[in-house]
Order: sequence, then C-alpha cells, then structure tokens
Amino acid sequence: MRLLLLLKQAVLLAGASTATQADILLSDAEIAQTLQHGPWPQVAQTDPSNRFSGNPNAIALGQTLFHETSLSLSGDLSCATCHQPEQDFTDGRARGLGKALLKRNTQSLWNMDQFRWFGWSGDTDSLWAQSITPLFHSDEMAHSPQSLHGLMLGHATREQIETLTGPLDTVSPEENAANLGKIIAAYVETQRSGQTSFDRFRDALAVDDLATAANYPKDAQRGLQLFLGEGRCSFCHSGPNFSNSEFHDAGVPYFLAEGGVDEGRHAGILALQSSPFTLNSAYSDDPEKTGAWAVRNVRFNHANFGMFRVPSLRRVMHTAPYMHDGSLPDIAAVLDHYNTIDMERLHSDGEAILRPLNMSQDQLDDLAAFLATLSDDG
Amino acid sequence: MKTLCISGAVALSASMALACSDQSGLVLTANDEAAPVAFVTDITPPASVPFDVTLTLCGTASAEVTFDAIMPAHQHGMNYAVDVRQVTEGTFHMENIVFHMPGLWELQFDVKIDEARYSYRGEMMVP
Ligand code: HEC
Ligand code: HEC
Repeated sequence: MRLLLLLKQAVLLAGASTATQADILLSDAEIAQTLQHGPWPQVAQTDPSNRFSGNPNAIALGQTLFHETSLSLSGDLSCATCHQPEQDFTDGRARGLGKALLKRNTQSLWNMDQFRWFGWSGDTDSLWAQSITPLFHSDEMAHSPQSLHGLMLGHATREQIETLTGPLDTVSPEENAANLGKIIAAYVETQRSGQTSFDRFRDALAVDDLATAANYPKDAQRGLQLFLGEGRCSFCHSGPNFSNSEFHDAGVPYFLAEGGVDEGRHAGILALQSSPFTLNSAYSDDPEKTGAWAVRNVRFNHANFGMFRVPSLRRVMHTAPYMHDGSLPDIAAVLDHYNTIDMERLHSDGEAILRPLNMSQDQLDDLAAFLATLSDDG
Repeated sequence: MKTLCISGAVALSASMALACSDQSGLVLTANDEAAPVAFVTDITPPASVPFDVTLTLCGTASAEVTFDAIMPAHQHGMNYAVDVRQVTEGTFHMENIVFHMPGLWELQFDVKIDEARYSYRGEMMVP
C-alpha cells in the first residue's frame, strides 16, 4: 500500500516535471539569447560627468525645475508640459508641440542611464547636455545662455541652486546652463522602470527554475521566439534595455509633411560636433573623461542620413504613438509596418537586415503579447 | 643589484616568448606566408558595449597597425574609428571597440613592418 503510494507520487512528480519542460517552448539557443536581455533592473550607476548625479538635494531641485514654466522665455512651457510624468513622460501627441510643432515625437524619459546617445538623432552624448537643448531651442523654451543666466539670478530657486553650484553671478552663462542641465538630469536619471513578467521569466531561466519560468504565458513565449528569430528584432533592439543605443533605418519615411527632410543621425553628428557641451569638453566633471571616446571617434558616414536611434522597448505599450515622427498610432501599426516593410523606403546603403516578414495575424498577436510583457512593471 | 636587473630582463623575454609559443589568444589568418604569427585576446564581445583587445605580433619589434571590423552578413562596419597604440615590443592595444549588433564580426588588421605590408583576418561572435 505504502509502496504504491510512493510509486504514484513518483509518477505524479515525473509527470509534473515533464509538464514543466513542455511549458517552456524555447530551445537552448533561444534561452541563451533570452539571457542577453537581462538582468533587469541594471545596477544604477552615477554619471561621472555630472557632479550632482545621485545627490538628493539636486534630485529634489531638479524635479522642481522640471516642472517650472518660468524656465521658458514665454513663461508657459516646462519640461513636464511635453514630458508628462503621469503619461510615461510623453505627451501622447505624434509630434511635440512647443511654440510651434516640433519635427519629432516626444521621447519618454525612462532608463536614461542605459543610453550612449540622446534624442532621436544623438545630438548629445550625455543626459545633462540633452537637458540643456530644449532651454535654447527656439520652438521650445527659447532662451539664450545670457537670458537664462539673467533669469536665474532673480529666480526663486537661486539660493537652492547656489548651495549646489556656488555663487551664480560669477559663472559664465554657458557654465550656468551646464549646471542647470546637470541638476535637472540628476532628477531625470532616477526614472527607472521596474521588473516585468519577461524579466521574471528570464531570471528563472538563468537559474534553471523551469517551474517559475512556466508561469510566462505561451503566446508571449512564441512572440519572444519570433522576436529573436524570424523577426530579427533583437539585432537592433538588443541587450537589457532592448536598444543597442545606435542608429538604424527602420524604413520610416524621413520626409516632413511641411516639406524638407529630417536628416536624422547625419544632422545629429553635426550638432554633436559643434556643441560646447560634450563629454570631451571642459564642462564634463569627470577628470578621466569617461565615455568621451564616442564623440572623439564617431564616424561620419553617408549612411547616417535618415537614421534614428533604436528606441528601448521597455514600457513601450504606454508610449504611443511610435517612431521618430509619431506616425504610427499603436503597436499593431508598428508590427504591420515591419510585416509589410517597403524595401524602396530603406534608403541607407543596404543594411541587409529588414525585409517584409509576411507573418500571420496569430504571429503578430504573439509578438504583441511578448512586447506587453516588457511593459507590465506597474 | 646587477643580478636582480638581469633576472628581470630574463623574466621579461621569457614571458614574451611564452606569449608567442602558447598563443592562448585567437590566432589570426594572414594573407601571406611570410607574415609573422599574430593573435588577439580571445574574448566574447558584449553587444554594443565598448571592449578592448590586445594584438600580439610574434617576433616583431615595431609595426604600424590599423584596425577595422565589419559584419559580413549585414554589409556594415563599425560606427566608431578605433585608435591603435603600441604598448610594448610586438603588442598593440585597441580600446573602445564597439560591435553594435549580435552576430558574426570579421576583424581586419593591416600591418606594415618596415617595407612589408600584411593583412590579417579573424572572427568574433557577439551573443
Ligand atoms: C515642446 C516639447 C518639449 C519640451 C518643452 C521639452 N522636451 Fe524633451 N523632448 C521633446 C522631443 C520632441 C524630444 C525628441 C527630440 C529630438 O530627437 O530631437 C525630446 C527629447 C528629450 C530627451 C532625450 C530622451 C532620449 O531618449 O534620448 C531628454 C533627456 C529630454 N527631452 C529632456 C527634456 C528636459 C529636461 C526638458 C526641460 C528642460 C525638456 N525635455 C523639454 C519634447 C520636449
Ligand atoms: C535594423 C534595426 C531594427 C530592427 C531589425 C528592428 N527595429 Fe524596431 N526600431 C528600429 C529603429 C531605428 C526604430 C525607430 C525608427 C524611426 O523612428 O524612424 C524602431 C522603432 C520600433 C518601435 C517603436 C518604438 C517607439 O518608441 O517609437 C517598436 C515597437 C519596434 N521598433 C519594434 C520592433 C520589432 C517588434 C522588431 C522585429 C519585428 C523590430 N523593431 C526590428 C530599429 C530596428
């Protein structure tokens, strides 16, 4: 009797473990690829080029400044007008709206410490330099370094700023702008997205815990297989942040409705090379100039024309509309774009990666189910 | 004092000889039989994260070295130029190489030793 019971249990156990095995659709090679997309979250590191990075007073002041409409020349525009915290730091519009309609979609500001370049075309190589850009953009906050300096000398936050930076009236207008960018960046870099159901699946696979991994839905697993394999998505959307932080042509037209083109990375490199605020400049607080190799060694290629930075896919379900010009309203439209991609539109010198996927609706649904598991961190 | 110096020198040349006899690195393929044996640090580069590599040219005191890499499957190269720095006799250092996509990359070295020019190829797989 006892023996029978034991035997029964053994059979049950064996049955359970095969069921678990069968619940994991991924091959060993696909599991190895999956592990490359983690762990998440990554260990938070302070930015050596920003002496206020990680400083609690700077983070609190940065958050205040982020919401300050008084930082714009017209007095009615703050960072948060476009990067609305309750909307995943976006505005839900196709293209940002400041004093005029901007050329591009407002990016969300998650996990900024994961990127090497900022903006859709990588005009800047640090978060603090990128945070200065809208202050001087004529269609955004529209200041000059001089008018911004004058404003801050009489600003309500002057005392708080000076406890971090020292006296404001002795710094140059450029130094003042760099300081403001760094204080705001200290706040923005704290916006980090959390663990998702994909991350729990990935971590379970890393320790061979198939029972936990089996909680990950089958449709998301099939979608992940397509993402890594047939869809070739992970060539560009690689690593824990699902972006290689580099520039590619994903076949999105670069013509502007009002005429002209958005030159993308081509213009980005030109802006970068003429910027006084790079990691290679005296405004970097890092004596080692960590990361400055990128601006020193970046190559200027004809192929850069019309290329845009690969977006992260973390929290992507919450940041519609999509692409640099916000031309695709939802994820279904993005997947349809990749499924039927127009090869004539790929203008770069033949990056032989994208081609029409010709997937079935079921496959597209699986891909969407997978993408949703990169966005369910609450 | 004198003996100490000599033993130091012996140790150095022994370690260099060892480096070339054991070739624990990734041995490169040369375009010419006369080309010195060459190898680089054998590593698995991370995708789109900068990494460093050391090139050893056996039995070569000094040389001019240039480095580039391409992804043969996608017909594209690197987004960054890479500076090559000679560190000791026959060893060269390359910093901040970025292979920005997973897959197979082909490393290409052009080497000028006196009047002779050689080219070398090697492959690395980015997971
Ligand atoms: C009028 C709308 C608007 C305002 C105001 C605005 N932004 Fe932006 N932001 C955008 C748009 C559009 C982009 C994409 C820019 C590009 O690619 O050229 C962007 C990009 C960024 C990025 C780059 C994100 C990434 O993924 O690389 C950062 C950082 C940023 N903004 C911070 C700020 C800060 C800080 C402020 C306030 C000082 C601010 N923005 C004000 C619309 C705005
Ligand atoms: C050749 C590199 C490359 C490949 C392969 C690739 N993408 Fe992209 N992806 C990009 C770039 C670049 C953009 C931005 C394009 C633009 O705005 O012009 C983008 C944009 C997106 C967006 C919009 C995100 C946003 O915030 O706007 C999604 C979603 C996306 N890709 C998913 C995928 C999926 C799913 C696959 C596989 C079917 C895939 N990508 C394959 C490079 C790539």
